[in-house]
Amino acid sequence: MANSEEKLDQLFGAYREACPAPPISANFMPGLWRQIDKRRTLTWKLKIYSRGLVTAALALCMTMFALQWAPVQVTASPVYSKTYLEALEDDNPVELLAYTEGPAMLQQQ
Amino acid sequence: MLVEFDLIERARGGDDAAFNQIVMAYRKRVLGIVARNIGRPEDVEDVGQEVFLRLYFSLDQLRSPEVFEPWLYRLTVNAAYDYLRKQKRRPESRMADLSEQQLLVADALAGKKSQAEHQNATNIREFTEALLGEVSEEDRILLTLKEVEGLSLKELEEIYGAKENALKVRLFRARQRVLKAYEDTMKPPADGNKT
Repeated sequence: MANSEEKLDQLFGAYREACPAPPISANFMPGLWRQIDKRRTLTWKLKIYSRGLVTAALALCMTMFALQWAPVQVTASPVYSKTYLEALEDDNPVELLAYTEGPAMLQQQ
Repeated sequence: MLVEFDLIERARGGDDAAFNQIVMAYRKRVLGIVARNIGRPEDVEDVGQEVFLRLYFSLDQLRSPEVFEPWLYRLTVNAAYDYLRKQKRRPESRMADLSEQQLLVADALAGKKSQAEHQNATNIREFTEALLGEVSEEDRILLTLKEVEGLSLKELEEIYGAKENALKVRLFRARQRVLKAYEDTMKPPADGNKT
């Protein structure tokens, strides 16, 4: 067993020597920088899109907020242009009304 | 450390020239680890580029330049592991596929290793990779870092962020499996020609 352990250790040592770091091709660094630039561009685009989205969402929120809290203005509608009393007055002009005393009316009845 | 802390700080700050120097300093070591872990020479550079790509985009997460090397080793280990997982296969050569000649080389290695090493580098590589193929990808990487790369338990602790005892147990089990495979290979074949 101990013998096998030693042999295995030797094998690992030999493996390290049999497996040196491979020669680095001339394309390694340019290839790496190409990949970095590619991912950088993608990240940059994503950042721009996400910023645009956030800005749009913020603007929408502010608009909704402003609309909710803005004072309600009653628009002049032809239907409700007069108050109830004014409408009554128009239908029954004062000139046409005969003035009668309340108690006298009761007496007549 | 192969580079100055200052260089790492500069690279963290977005200095591409500094990053370039770091890659130049560490690429041989990283490619060596990758080569000994993935077992496919044609893909070593791709995996190595992936390691440095990850390094470039994660440098800002580095706590301090002091932990740069374990950090880089961790990225290397992860990239190698991801590669092995993507491949979904162990190294092509297995114990059963080993030729008689390779077994003889392995045997000769113990006695006359210096001669065998240089003459049969390919056979040694294939034989060891077949042995390492007996354990999982994670254990293969861990065992390679310890036994082949010669990293200490302390360094492995930093790389894996695991307790030393847990690593010891895992290493022991993995080594035992590899050792068993080794002993099985070294056993003389059963004589089936008995009359």
